[in-house]
Amino acid sequence: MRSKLARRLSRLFPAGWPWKTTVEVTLCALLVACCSTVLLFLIHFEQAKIPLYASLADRILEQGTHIVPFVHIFGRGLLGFWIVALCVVLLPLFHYLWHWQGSKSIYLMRRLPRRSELWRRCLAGPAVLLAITVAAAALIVLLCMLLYQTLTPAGHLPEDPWAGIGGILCWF
Amino acid sequence: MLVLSDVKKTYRQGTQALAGVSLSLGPGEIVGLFGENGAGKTTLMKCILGLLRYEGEITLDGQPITPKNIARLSFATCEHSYFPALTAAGHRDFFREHFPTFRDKRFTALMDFFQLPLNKTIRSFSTGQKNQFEVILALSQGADYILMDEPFAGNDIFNREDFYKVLLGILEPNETILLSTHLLEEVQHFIGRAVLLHQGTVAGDMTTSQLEDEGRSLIDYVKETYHYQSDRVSRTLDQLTDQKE
Repeated sequence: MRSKLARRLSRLFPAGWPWKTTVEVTLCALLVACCSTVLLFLIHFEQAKIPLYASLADRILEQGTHIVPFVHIFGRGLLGFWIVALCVVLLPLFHYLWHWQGSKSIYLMRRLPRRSELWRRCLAGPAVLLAITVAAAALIVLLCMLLYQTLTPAGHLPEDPWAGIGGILCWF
Repeated sequence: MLVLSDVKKTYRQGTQALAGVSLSLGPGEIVGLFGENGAGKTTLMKCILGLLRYEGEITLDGQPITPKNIARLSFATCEHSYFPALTAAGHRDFFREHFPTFRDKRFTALMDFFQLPLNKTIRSFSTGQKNQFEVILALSQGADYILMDEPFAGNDIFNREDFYKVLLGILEPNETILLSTHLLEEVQHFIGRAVLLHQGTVAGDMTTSQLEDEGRSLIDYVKETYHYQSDRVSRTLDQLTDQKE
């Protein structure tokens, strides 16, 4: 079962390409991106909650105050994911050049009966990794939104907490 | 039948590699393709395989070469076309997947004959082993037309002779070989026909039986065709000696 999956995965990359390392490195990078995003979000969130309190030491909330909208706290939280995505997007170029490394396996790839095989092997792996990156980023955003909504003291959410949510996609 | 009609190839920088080559290769022929460096041998093979764009027409049993019939052609090149980081077993699986007529039995027999390891990456092979493996793949693909471009460059004489013998033993009557090489003496008893290229054109095309009938050796035929000046070495040496004096 496991070897079948490994075989299927290996077919998403050029023949002989160290796909296991590629997948492992990408997943590690995504894990780092996820952890750092959540951690930074929690730090910024705690800072954003300070103005809500009349007395921080006694944890007494000041009536009529509102926390800033989500997008201000989340900020550039997706930067890590953007970096991973950029690396993944560049992978097909390296995959294509792989066919000139140490031999001209490009000759074999270009004379296969299934003409699309060369491009499939160059693009499929990065496409899957990119999809995983997008999914991971979406999940982390959802998790942070959930934390924002549940951890903000009742009645202190702004009128439109999700105002300008599209701004989180901005990476610079 | 593999038919080339007036095949021309000019590279971007203006070099004409093929200046109208017409040639046909029938089933079961073993053809030697000879010519000086730059005569167009490699270019011709790459054109047949569709790796280069060309003018003219190349057909296989009357049909243009497309993905539908490309599996009927295989290629062994001195540049190598295997995947260096893949094992021999990995190559076998890859070829099985892409070439339905892959000859498993032949692959195993040849791997055993050359004592090549199945589970080592090809990059760990010696130069000779790499050449052997390249040829093994071309022979095992299950193609009717096997194109070989200087496949034995780097192999020792014993290896090469073994290979010719094995090749003659395993080839089936419908398998055609087009072998480009400079090793004239070695292949003269192995090939059935010699095609000579010179400056992108066919300068000569004769079967070895025709040559035998005429009492000529392949070497003589090649030398005659290329107007080889046998005294050019002595003339040069004389010139140099005169200069010294």
